[in-house]
Amino acid sequence: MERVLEAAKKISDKAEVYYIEYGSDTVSFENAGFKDVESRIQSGLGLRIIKDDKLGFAYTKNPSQREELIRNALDSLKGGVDGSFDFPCTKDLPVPDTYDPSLKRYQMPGW
Amino acid sequence: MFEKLRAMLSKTSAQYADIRYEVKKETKIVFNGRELFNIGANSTDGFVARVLKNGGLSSVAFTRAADADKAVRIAEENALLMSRFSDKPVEFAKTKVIKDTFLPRLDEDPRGISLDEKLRLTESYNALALRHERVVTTNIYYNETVREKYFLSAEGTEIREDLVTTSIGGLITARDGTLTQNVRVAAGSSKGFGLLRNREDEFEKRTGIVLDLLNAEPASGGVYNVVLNQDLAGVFTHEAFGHFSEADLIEDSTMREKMQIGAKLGNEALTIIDDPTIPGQLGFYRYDDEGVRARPVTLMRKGALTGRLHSRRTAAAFGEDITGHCVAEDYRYAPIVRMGNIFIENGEKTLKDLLEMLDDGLYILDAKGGQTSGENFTFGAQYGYIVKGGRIKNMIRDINISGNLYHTLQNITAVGNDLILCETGGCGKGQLNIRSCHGGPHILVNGVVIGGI
Repeated sequence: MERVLEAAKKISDKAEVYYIEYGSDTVSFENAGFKDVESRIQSGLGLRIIKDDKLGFAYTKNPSQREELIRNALDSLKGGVDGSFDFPCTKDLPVPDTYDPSLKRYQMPGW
Repeated sequence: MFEKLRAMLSKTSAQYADIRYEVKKETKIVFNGRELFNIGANSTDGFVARVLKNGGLSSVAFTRAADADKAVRIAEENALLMSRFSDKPVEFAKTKVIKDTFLPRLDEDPRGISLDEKLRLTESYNALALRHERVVTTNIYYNETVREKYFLSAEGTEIREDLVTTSIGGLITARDGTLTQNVRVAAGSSKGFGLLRNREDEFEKRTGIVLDLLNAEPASGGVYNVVLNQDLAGVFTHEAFGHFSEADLIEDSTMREKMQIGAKLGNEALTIIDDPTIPGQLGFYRYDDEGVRARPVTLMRKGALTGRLHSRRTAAAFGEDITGHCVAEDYRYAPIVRMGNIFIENGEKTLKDLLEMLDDGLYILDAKGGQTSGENFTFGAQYGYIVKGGRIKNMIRDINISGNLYHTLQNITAVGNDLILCETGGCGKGQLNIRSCHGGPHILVNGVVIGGI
């Protein structure tokens, strides 16, 4: 994340990186019978830049593709979206704990 | 890449496993009226691993190579869970082990064309529509999707294939007083960027239609004999019939009883084929996302059901031959059974012949949304004409077509000789398939319910 941000700052006036990781399990039933289970382990990285008061954006699943990500964000500046604002400063914000460990007690009956 | 994929599967003890890696590059340009609403390109990638163990099949999608061991372990656990709780053990129909690289020949690779040039072309087509005073807005897009795929199975198959899809199209809206009308426009294919050039005539023609619609009369509701054009014939074939040819959709449904091979479901005039192997068409591919080589399937011959579309799993479950129709949207999904290029085969009649056979009725053109509910369907049409004595008369607007699949299959009494396949598509069966392609020649259908005033 930091390396993408450093590289992006060199070619823009302001830059912001958003990174997310998530996992999911989807279980489906049909006619009261067990039909399917699918899992996902996903991550992704979004880059917003502001250059000459225009806003640019690009995303990728692969943070190692820094150059392509930055080039795509630069290309999107052609859209001419107004960027005369500042990105929110989130560096020192506290991280709220939104996970309730009691969720672990819920199990599928019989599993 | 194949070495890396092989290593990822090496720790599984499953009876079968496969893994797909894809890089997906998308470019999108959108105009809303004169405003450039969106422009940009993005590149994403990821893996999908599937495991078949003890008769249970499961898949995991993941984006980081470092998560491969964890992903394969989860897939195995899920497969075992499936085998414990499912009463039907999954088997895969046999397929050939293939090692091949297939990078289709393109008429101009869009990856080598600048975003500026794509923007200029889209803008020029958009401007053609907007120069008319009564065209009040447009929604014109450029879409480019490149899937660079690597597939490896534990059986030894290794396939590298590219799917390149480009399109320019959208919606043109015109208004006169309180009357608003719109038509769709589309140019695209799997053949490359070249097909998108020099399409001014198409954008001019569609703009002319929407302007004419401002002077058209509303359709009068009733039951009519109709001639449907190629796009509407294709949408009917895809939506009302094609989905019931997808084995996974009918395997646990009451429709399975009706869709028996050999059943005489349609008129003698009707032959329907799904063929993903037609080069350059929107639905073209060589291998599906299970590594099976695609082949044409005659779904209906002279009104009798002769085939259906399969994955390896459904082919084994139905005891029928594999067809190579198991396709995923991208690296986020396990593949499911999909149509490729589905169409009604050419007959012998010209449009003039069909209109003369129609005598009095309606000539209806181009689909505009719709839905199916079981064996019943409702589609919108973009425009049409009243036909009297076999001659095209006044234009009509605001048209809906309703019917029952099986009645309609029997009521298609004559088929034209002017097959056209569509240039853009988008089938949303759980996953989006932008390469879903349909078509047909003009067809004559008796006793169609038309909604209107």
